[in-house]
Amino acid sequence: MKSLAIWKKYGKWICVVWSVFTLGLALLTLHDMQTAEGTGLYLAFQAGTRERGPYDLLVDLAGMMCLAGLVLLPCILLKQREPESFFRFLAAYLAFLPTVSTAALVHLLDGTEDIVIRQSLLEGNLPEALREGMAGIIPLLQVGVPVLVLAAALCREAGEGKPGKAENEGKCAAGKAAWAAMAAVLLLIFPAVVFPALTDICVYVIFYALLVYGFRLWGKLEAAYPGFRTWGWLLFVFFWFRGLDRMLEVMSIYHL
Amino acid sequence: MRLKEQKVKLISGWLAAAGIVILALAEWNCHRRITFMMDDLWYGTNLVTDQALRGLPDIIESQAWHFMNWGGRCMTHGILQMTLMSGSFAADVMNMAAVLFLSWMICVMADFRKPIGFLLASTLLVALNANVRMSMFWQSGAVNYVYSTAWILVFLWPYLRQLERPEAPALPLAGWWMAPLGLMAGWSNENMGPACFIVSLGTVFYLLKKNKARLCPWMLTGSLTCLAGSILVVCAPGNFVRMNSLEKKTLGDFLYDRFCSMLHAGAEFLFPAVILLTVLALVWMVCRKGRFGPGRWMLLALAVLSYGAMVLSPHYPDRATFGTMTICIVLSLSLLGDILKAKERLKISAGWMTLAYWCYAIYVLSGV
Repeated sequence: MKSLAIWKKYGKWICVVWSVFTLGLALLTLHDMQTAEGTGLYLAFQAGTRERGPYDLLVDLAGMMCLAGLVLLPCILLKQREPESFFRFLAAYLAFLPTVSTAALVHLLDGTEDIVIRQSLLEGNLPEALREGMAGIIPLLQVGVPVLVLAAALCREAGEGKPGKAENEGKCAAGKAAWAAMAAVLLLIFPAVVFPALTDICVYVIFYALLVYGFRLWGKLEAAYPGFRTWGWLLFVFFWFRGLDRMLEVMSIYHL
Repeated sequence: MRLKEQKVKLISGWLAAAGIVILALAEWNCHRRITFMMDDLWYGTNLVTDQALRGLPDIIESQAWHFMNWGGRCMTHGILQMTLMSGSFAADVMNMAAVLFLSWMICVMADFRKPIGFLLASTLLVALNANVRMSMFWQSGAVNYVYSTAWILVFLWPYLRQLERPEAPALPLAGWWMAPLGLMAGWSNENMGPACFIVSLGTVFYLLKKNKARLCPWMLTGSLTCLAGSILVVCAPGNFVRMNSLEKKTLGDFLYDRFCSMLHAGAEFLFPAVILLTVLALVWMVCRKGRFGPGRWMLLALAVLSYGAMVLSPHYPDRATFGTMTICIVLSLSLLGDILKAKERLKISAGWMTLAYWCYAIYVLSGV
């Protein structure tokens, strides 16, 4: 009980400190990866200078703003504005989202990476094209989809038997949002398979859409079953460790 | 209404059967495609003379050398040599039988003996596996992980059965077969063997203290032989010979290496299995207000101990998480079974979950 009281008093601040620490680790990871890939150096050359420092800093800043923004966005849109929600989404984001190469992103944006049709498709080899284009999406069947199916069913069940608005909300969370997430996945599979230059970015958006859907379901479940607020930490601490492992692995590969 | 329910039950039963058959065929295809390789080629010889194995004396001679110079897993490697000697086709038949038997044992341990339970167990063995090729289809991997996990579950089953139903009579002739099985379970591998012994001992203590049960001879002989097997696998002189050949590290490097290796095993190799288990445990505890019985606590302890024991190993390969993953599957199925008993409507979602895992398992098998 004492620990619960401490958590009630300082929990928010613990989440803030831990989120800042995690973002610091993410910054180190991003810096290691982008300097090794030479994104800042490439931008410096494009600008006609050999001084890469300011450009490295620029890429770091832009990357971190994107990361913080992408984590903050669902918290704002879904009206879950407490530090706990931010930490939860950050931990899940780092555990699930594919690593984005800043170099690949820059080449895609400045047009040096041509958006052409996949070679195997041009040769008429559809199974090979599907295998290549969906290799990043299929693992969702292993971790994401089964858990989301269960969460959606629970959410629907939580809404049942409750009067009016609560029932509608329960069904809505499991219904409309599920269709929106599924539509996003299905729409993005096409460009992911057809254009190899867009595969990574499409896979990223699919994972992000499903993560936001999962986050929405979690919010509804937490409201329906307060026990999730207490025991749910088991899941998010595990996500955090998964994120830490992924960041350490990236750093061990790219650290110069 | 009743007719409709029966129809749904019949259709789901047939669908589960079809899923099991297709998965088994895909697995059989993988067994046939993956021939003896790497360590198989070495274990296919007499380790002392380097000549091809000719019979049991060669295996005994090899395992005596193995014990003194390479490592303590003589039980599994002895069986591996026997399967290698029997030829590729016979080995594949045995491997397939072992996978099916393991899936059945998972259902028995989880008390979820239905076609859908069997389909889930055999699907999850592939879908949650960190390295399917090296833990199930490589001959050395199959014997080290699939076979040994199967006999570990057979060994632990009477203990956990007694824990859940203390009044149940002992299994027939348990006093006879628990002793050799305990030795095999303890002598299986470095993490599962000792973890298995601790869990069997914990169960005996729980039964004696909490349930005031009478100590049955099979409980004692099983635990004692399991202890003997664990000592043999851990304290084999060969382990120290190999340890001495490793590069010496500073304490800082050593601790950081172990931390990273344990973190990677837990958060990467076991990630899908732990996610499933955690989510089902949360649903069971929060939505169904359920509690973990002593049997589940013992299984959880086995999973944690078998994972934690690897902190003593200089290397934690992905395939070595197979045993821990299997225990997570047993726990997950046991929780899912109870959740479905309490809420029938979740059966449809469980069906979709199974389909997602099954599709992934088929995808994995097609790429092995």
